[in-house]
This record gives sequence, structure tokens and C-alpha cells, in this order.
Amino acid sequence: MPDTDEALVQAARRGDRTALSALYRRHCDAIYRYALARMGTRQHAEDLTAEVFTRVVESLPQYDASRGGFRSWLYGIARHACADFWRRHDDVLELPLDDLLPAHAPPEREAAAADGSLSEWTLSLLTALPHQYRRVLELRILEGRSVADTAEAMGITGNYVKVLQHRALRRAATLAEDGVKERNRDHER
Amino acid sequence: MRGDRLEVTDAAIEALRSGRAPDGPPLRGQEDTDTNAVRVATLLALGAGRGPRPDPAFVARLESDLLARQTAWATGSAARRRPTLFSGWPRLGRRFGAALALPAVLAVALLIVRGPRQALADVQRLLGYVPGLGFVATQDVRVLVEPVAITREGATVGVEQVIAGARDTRIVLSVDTTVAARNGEDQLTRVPEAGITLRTLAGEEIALTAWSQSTEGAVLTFGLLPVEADTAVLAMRVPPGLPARAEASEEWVFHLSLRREDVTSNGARLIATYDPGTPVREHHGIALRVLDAAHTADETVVRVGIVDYPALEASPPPHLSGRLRPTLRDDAGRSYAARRSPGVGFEGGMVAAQAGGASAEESARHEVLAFEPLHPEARELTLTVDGVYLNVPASGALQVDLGDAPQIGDVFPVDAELEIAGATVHLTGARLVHEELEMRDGIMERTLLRFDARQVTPQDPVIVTHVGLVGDRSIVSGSSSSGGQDGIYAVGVEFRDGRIPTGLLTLSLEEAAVVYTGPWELTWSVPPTAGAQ
Repeated sequence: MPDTDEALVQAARRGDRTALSALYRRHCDAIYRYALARMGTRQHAEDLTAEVFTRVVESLPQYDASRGGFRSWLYGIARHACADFWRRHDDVLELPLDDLLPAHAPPEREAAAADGSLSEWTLSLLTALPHQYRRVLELRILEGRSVADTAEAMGITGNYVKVLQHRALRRAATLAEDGVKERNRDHER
Repeated sequence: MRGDRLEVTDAAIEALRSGRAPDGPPLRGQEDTDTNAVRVATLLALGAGRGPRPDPAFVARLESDLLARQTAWATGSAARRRPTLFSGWPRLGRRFGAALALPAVLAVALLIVRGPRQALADVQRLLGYVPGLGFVATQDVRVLVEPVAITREGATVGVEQVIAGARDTRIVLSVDTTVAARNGEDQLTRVPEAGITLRTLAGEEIALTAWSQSTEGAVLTFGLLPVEADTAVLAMRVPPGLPARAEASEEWVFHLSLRREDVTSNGARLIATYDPGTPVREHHGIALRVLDAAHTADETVVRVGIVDYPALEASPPPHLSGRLRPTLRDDAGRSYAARRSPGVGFEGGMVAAQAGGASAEESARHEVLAFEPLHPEARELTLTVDGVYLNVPASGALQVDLGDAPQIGDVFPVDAELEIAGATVHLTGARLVHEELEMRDGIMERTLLRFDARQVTPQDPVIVTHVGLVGDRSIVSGSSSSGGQDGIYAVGVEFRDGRIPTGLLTLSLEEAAVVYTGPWELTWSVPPTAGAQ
């Protein structure tokens, strides 16, 4: 089995089903997460993921490795698909939070995630929260602890963990929305 | 605080903890902070590298859908393809369809009266290059004076180019629209459904004979426009690529003004080609030559002919390897990156080939390659072809004893060597595999016997890329090979109706495909005027 994206693309172009499967499986999770970050919901993330890979299959004959790596090409398609999605669904509200995401650099982002470090956006949002709120989100989301574990770690009841995490996320959402408004104001100036 | 809101955020966090994306609150409607709270949770998880994974059922479903699309694409039935010069020839296959496109009859006639070498030269002098369209016959050519476009209800449809030649009339149509199909509700109009007509001012209708279509437009090929016609009218009920609902009571009508043009009139759209005069280079009985080249401000275009190859019974002509793509460099060592271009790809046609001192008329394989534009200081170019793909006949047999009660997952010992074009492929072991592929119209199941395979001597000048095994037709319904840069790694046979046979299974090697490696180095001097177009 070829181990580079480019070799898999070449094989897939010739109709090699195994190569296409390998290429798809290699990037499916990352594209899904990319879509999820922008769409916000599982259903729409799945729709966008399907759209991206459909375009990839149909565009393989046009892929030109000399113009850049496969990943750049793939994420270029994802960006276009995302933009097209919003254009097609003018009756659906675009996620304001999407504006908060940094100009997407998937490889770097994935690399950061792989070594356990946090994205700049995540860090900035967490540090802007009161201590209790930050702590509950760190335990519940970043560390993936259960309500009971979190309650024990924080010395509070399970019910209060749920209250605290809800408030923390609302506060974080408000901060994020404010960030969008601030950015929009800057753009208008 | 309402308890159900607490549960919504908690459910979202629990979903993220288990590696799933939260079931989204609907996007339609007013955004509120609670909705965004769930999204923030998702983004935090993503930012921490704890992003959810897609549902395995979704992943499998999409994979099977993509594989079905790939199959359709590989067999040429995909509807949405970028227009290429020859992709619309109806069901003839590229190599045969393309044979219609080049002046085959003319070449044969010239061959008869002038001999093969002179005939080849004559054919080349009759070719010009049209950016975006490809190499075309230049005799009695009329081209569009200027592009024309119509904008209506959010869509702009343009006629970008017309090449009315001695053999056919080709029209390049562009479609730029914001009138997108509603999701799942509208089908985009295909060329045959668009009600397209081409007429002369005298009312004579020219038949549409071929077409290709993409999301950006279409290339339409009509019959011969009368030689005296300098105008034509193209009409359509709805432009191809627009949703069918875009059909209006008023037709889209384009009045086309044409002017005569040849390669000597220095027209902007018909670029002179030249015969580089490269000698024929031969390896493994496969002879390549650069038939012609053209230079524009945007690209360097080269047409390579496989002018001779082993005459293999019932084998299609070879083509340049897709895995070892040709490279172009100049005398200063500058490399020219490959370019995609609508006119680039396989062609076919009748050329006269003379190999081994014997004249022969053969159906040759051509390929048009596009690269970056020529550097002003380049004096010499070298095209290096590293591989040529060829189907080859092969023979051989192997047996696998499946026993009395073979089951999925069973592994069987195999130790068989197959000789293919001088190379040896070693099959080591086989496993019974059952696959369920979820297709659009239901589950497709198949049962395979999959062999591990490797080429014993991968350094050979032959890379085996496909091994076609057959067996009793009532048992074996198909064969497959999987491979990569270094050749095959798996060979399989699919059992008819999923029924696993018992006992001794005998399989025969019936066909194979290989890549012959070169390099074929084709060097030529760049004419002093090249690149001036």
C-alpha cells in the first residue's frame, strides 16, 4: 500500500478502490472535525463532509501535485464547500462562532491537538473565564471527566457541576459573541 | 434556571466525552446563547484535540458512496466532469472517439499518396493549438470574433469560443450562476436536455454530435458549418448546468459572428504549432516522439505520440503512465511544472508509423501535456517520459484448496509465481473476505478470495500493476488488483452470488497490465519565435 497521499491519489485516479478508501479514511476524521467546527451540528457536519469528499472524487483528475500538497488541496475544497453551503442555505443562520476560528491551518492545528496543547482560541477563551467556570470546563471537556469525578475534584455536588458547566458555557458563548461583534466593528472601520 | 437547559448542555458534553458530536440544535431560527453554548463546548473539545469522531455508520455509508462514484468516474459515466476535448464522444471510448477528432481520413489519404513520413508531417502542419480547447485542424477555420454573453436572472451564460473547421464545429460555453439547485430538489440540466440548436442564418440546422459538460460549462461539438457561413445562431431552452426550473419562456439566443483565421494571421486564439523534429526514442519496443508543440503566454503544450508499440492481440493502445508522469526541463535545468488544461489528455488518431524500416499504418495513442510557459531564455527542451502503461496478454494458472467447509476469514496457503511480461509476481497466501458496501440503492455484498501479491523483482524495467484472474464463470465473477507506486500488493477474485466453492479452485491468469519504465528522453530546440504568441 502506498503511504503518501500523492501515491494514493495516483492509484485512486486509475480506479484503485483500495487507494481511494485509504485516502478517505486517512482524512475523514479531520475533515469531519473541520466541518463540525464550522457547522456546529453533527447533521450539517456530515453533510459537509460528504460534499467535500464527493468533490474530491470528482476532481481527482484535476489534482495537480505540482501546485501543492494533497492536504492543501483538500482543505481548499473544504473551504469552498463550506462557503457554498452558506450560500445555498440562505434560510439558515451562519454560525457567528465560525468567525472566531483562526484562519484555518489544519496541519498545524492537528499537530497542536496531537501533542495535547490547546489552540490559541481555546486558551484565550478559557483564560477569560472566572476560575470556577474555567475549572469545570477543563475537567468536563478538556479532560473528559464524568460529572461525579468533576464533583469530587471540585468539592461540589453533581447537580451543581451541571449548573456550573451550563453557566460557564453561556459565559463563554457570550464572550465569543462579543468577540465576533468586536471583529465586525473593526472590519466596518 | 430551567432544568432542561442544563440537560441540553450536559448531554452535549457527555456526547463530546464519548467522542461523538452533539446532536445539534437546529440551525434554523434565531440564534441564542444557549445554542452557542453547545457550540462553544464543541469548539473547546476540538481545540483541545478531543474533537468527536464521525459516526462509523456515516463513515462507511459515505465510503461506499464514494467508491460507487469512483467506479462511475473511472468508467466515464460520471455526469459532472470538466470539459475536455474528447470526453463527450458518445460511447465510443476516448481512443476511438478521439480518432474521429483528428484528421484521420485526411491522414490516411495522405499516407496513400505521399508515404508515411511525409503524411505525418502534412498532418502536423494542419494542426493549430487553441488554448482551452486543444489541437485542432486549421484548414478553413473560422473563429468567434469576440465572446458573447447573456445575463438573465442571476446567471451569465457565455459563448467563449467557436472553432468552425473543416471537420466539425466546436463551441465552448461557460455558465456562471448563482442560481444553484435547491438541495435535492432540482437536477442540473444536462446538454441533451437543454434544447440546444445551432443554425445558419439561412435556417439550416447543424446537428449536435458530441458534448462534454462540467460545472463551469460545456464543450459542444456540431457537424460541419457550411464553408460560406460567417454567422450562426446558437439557441437553447435552458443552459446546461442551470437547474431545470430556470427554463424560461424566452430562449437563450446567441448570435455568433465568425471570422476566418489561420495560424499565419497571428490570431489571438489559434496558436501556431511546430514540429520539434525529435527523433523517435524506443524502449521495450515502445517508440515515442514529440509530434508537435506550442507555446502561449500561459502554457507550453506538447503532443506526444506513441508511434510504435508491440502489436498485442486485442490489447488497447498503451498510454503514458499515470504514476510516472512526464517531466519537462530546459537547457538551463529549469523544470516546468505540469498544468491542467481543458485540452490536455489522451487523444487518438491515425498517424503513419514507420518502425524497423517497415511502413505501417497504425492507430497510435497521443497524449497532450501542458506545462508552465516557456522561459524566455530557454533554447532547448527535454521531455522525459518515465513510464508507459500497457495491457499485456499473460498466461498461467494456480490452484487453491478451499477444503470442505470454507468460512469467511479462513486463510489458505498459496505459493504461486506468475510470469508477466518478463516479471515475476509471487502470490503468498489467500484469505476469504466478505464485504458489505452500502450503496445508494441498498447494501452490496461480495465475497472475495484475496491474495497477497508482490513482484519478486521490483527493480525490473517492468512494473506489474494489474493481474486478471479468471476461473469457472459460474463461480468467479470478477478479478481485481490493488497497487501503488511500487506495483501490486493484492489480487482478488470475487465469487458469483457470494457462494463460496469447496475443494480445489483453479484460477487462470488471463490478462495483466504493466508499466514499462524508460526513460524516454525527447529533446528539441525551441524555435526563436516560440513564446512570442
